[in-house]
Amino acid sequence: MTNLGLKLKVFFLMAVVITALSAANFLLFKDFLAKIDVQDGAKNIAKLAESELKSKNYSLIGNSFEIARELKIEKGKVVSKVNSQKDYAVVSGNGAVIDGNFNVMNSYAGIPAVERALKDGVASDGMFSAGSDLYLIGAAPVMAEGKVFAAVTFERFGNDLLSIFPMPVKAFKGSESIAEKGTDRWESVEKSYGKAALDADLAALVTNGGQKELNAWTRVSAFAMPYDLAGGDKITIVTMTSLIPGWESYNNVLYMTIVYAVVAVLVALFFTFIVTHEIDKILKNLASDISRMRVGEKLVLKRYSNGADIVVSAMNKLIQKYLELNEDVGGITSSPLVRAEKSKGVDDFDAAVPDPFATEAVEEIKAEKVERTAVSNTKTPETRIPEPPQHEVKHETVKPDFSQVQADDDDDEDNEKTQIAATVSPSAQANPFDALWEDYCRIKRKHGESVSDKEKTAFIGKVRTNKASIMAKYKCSDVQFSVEEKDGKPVVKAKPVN
Amino acid sequence: MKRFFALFFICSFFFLIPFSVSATMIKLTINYNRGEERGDQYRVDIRDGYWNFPVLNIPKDKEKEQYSVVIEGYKPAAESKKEKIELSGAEFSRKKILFPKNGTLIVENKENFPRKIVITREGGGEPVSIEIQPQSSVEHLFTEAGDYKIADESFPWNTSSVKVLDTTYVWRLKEGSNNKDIPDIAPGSYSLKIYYGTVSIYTEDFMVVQNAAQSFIYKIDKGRVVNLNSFSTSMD
Repeated sequence: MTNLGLKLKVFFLMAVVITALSAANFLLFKDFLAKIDVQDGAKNIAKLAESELKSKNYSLIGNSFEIARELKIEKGKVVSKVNSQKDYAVVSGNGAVIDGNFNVMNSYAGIPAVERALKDGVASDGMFSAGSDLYLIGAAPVMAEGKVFAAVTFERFGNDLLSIFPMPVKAFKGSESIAEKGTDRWESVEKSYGKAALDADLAALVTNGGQKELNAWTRVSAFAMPYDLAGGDKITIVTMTSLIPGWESYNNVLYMTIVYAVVAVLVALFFTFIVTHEIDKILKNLASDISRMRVGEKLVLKRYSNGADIVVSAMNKLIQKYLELNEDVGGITSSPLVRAEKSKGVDDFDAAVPDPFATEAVEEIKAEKVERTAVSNTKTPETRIPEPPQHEVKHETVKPDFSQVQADDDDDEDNEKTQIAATVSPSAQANPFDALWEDYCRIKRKHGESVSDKEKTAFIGKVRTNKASIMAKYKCSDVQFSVEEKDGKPVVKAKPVN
Repeated sequence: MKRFFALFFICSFFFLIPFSVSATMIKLTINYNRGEERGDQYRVDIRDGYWNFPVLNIPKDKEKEQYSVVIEGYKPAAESKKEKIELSGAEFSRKKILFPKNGTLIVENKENFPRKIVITREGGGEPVSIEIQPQSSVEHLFTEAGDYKIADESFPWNTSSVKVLDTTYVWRLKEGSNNKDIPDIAPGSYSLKIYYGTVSIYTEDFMVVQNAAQSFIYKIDKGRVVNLNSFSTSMD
């Protein structure tokens, strides 16, 4: 495996970042939970549950008032049909049932809420148990024929009643569990927290009240209904508050954390492979391009990215310096690519010489093959300073020999990326642009304009620059220039040649 | 003439009274006017809910417990005393029952489900648990003097108390005029007590002498005992 060290570094970097983010998120989440608990926590949930229960009892009293309103009693008997969706009974002054659709007892004498209605004339709520069943009741007094009666509405305290609570709850009569809501979630907690431990905590809550933290996000809280309910047994409602409902089980959270960690590692591995593979590819392409370069050639910067462009830029600058140094010492002074990338005119040349090129000056590329003149360095693609040519050349274009590079690197699938900007004319003495310059001067002189030697240097430099740019732009191997007269001025036209 | 006859009959009445009772005898006359129940005697204030809305002004119940007269020191031949209480809803029909020795309590379950009661003697003794089938009754004999508590297991606040006296004579009073002659009482010191339920509300000591007859006239009104002989009244 290539670049194993790089891969490991990237992997560990990603793993550390993911782990750090996860830890930070977890701590933040835990902190949120604690703060939420302070403001809207289990205690308030218990209050909410108690409030729901009070509302339920209130509705029972309301139903009893409705029954009382409809009641018609003659000679101690109910003579009208009462419409009630809920179970009810009408009792006489001694508590005996005289009407109703609920027949648990023949008399409700002694039931506190009924006693309050019959003896004190007070409408109230309460509770009683008959056998193993527990009932919520609401009683309202009625006066008929000078005697007092009571309308009583019933609601069995069971799992159905617990549906009024929005959260999982357990109801206890004394220490005995009598109803439950959210069984699956209680079982989930039992599995993770331990049934014995949960039972012990619930027993303590039933006895002492208060709340208990089962884990960071799951708490139980208890409140007791009025103590005399159900014949002296304390009725306790235990609510379970989870800030991540459905995730009360600590084990589930633990398992999912492990799964999350494994997935994070796999993701890190995947992206490590993607990133390092891309880097490998870019570096290989770059190496391939460099191996095909000739002296004075530059790589086209825009073809590279992901860091390779920085390398290319640096390398081009190095080549530039190298060429300039050669010019200064009288070496490759005529190298056409010395300023190949300076096409935007930031030097004095561009300021001194008007741009003879126009956009339309570049002719469309045609499938035209220009016969290439063999040059001395066609067989030697290595980057070295070629020997001066022994003969005059008509075309200064040299097509690089890719054979060796391709042989060295079979992975280089995209040869187009190997953009070598231009080739260097082997002749530094016979300048091919002299004829072009002569044509240019001729047209200028024809119209009475004078030209200087300084302009010639700038003109030739400009042509070289544009040649390199056109070759890069049109991916051609050579450019043919010609000078034409237009509106009394010389215009240089370029024609890409494949 | 009319005046003469009236004076004659009045004088004859007062003259003949001592001869109208046999020797060593007491005569009890008690008029009982049923008053309102004093709730604090047996009502248990239970808080079992959240809401209370006063709706009606209900007149108070009449007294539910019985008044009884007991003459301490007087021990006639034991007679079988039976009292019955009903267990209906969450309430015993009577809360306080006074018994002489060997009194029998009959408890009837008026409901359609079985009930269980527990009888406990205060100050010791094994509790007695009795199950009563639906619509049926059980009997329990109290052989020893003492205070007993009967608890309804279904509704623990529903209790009834039984007081068994170390005497064989307990006279129950009914609403209206109650008259009782006790002809065979031996000479000596006695205490006359009037109970409301199991609570003694009036006590008067008296002496019975040989061949003498005494009358005791009382009135019970609004829960108070008034001695019409001496114009003394009981304390609440």
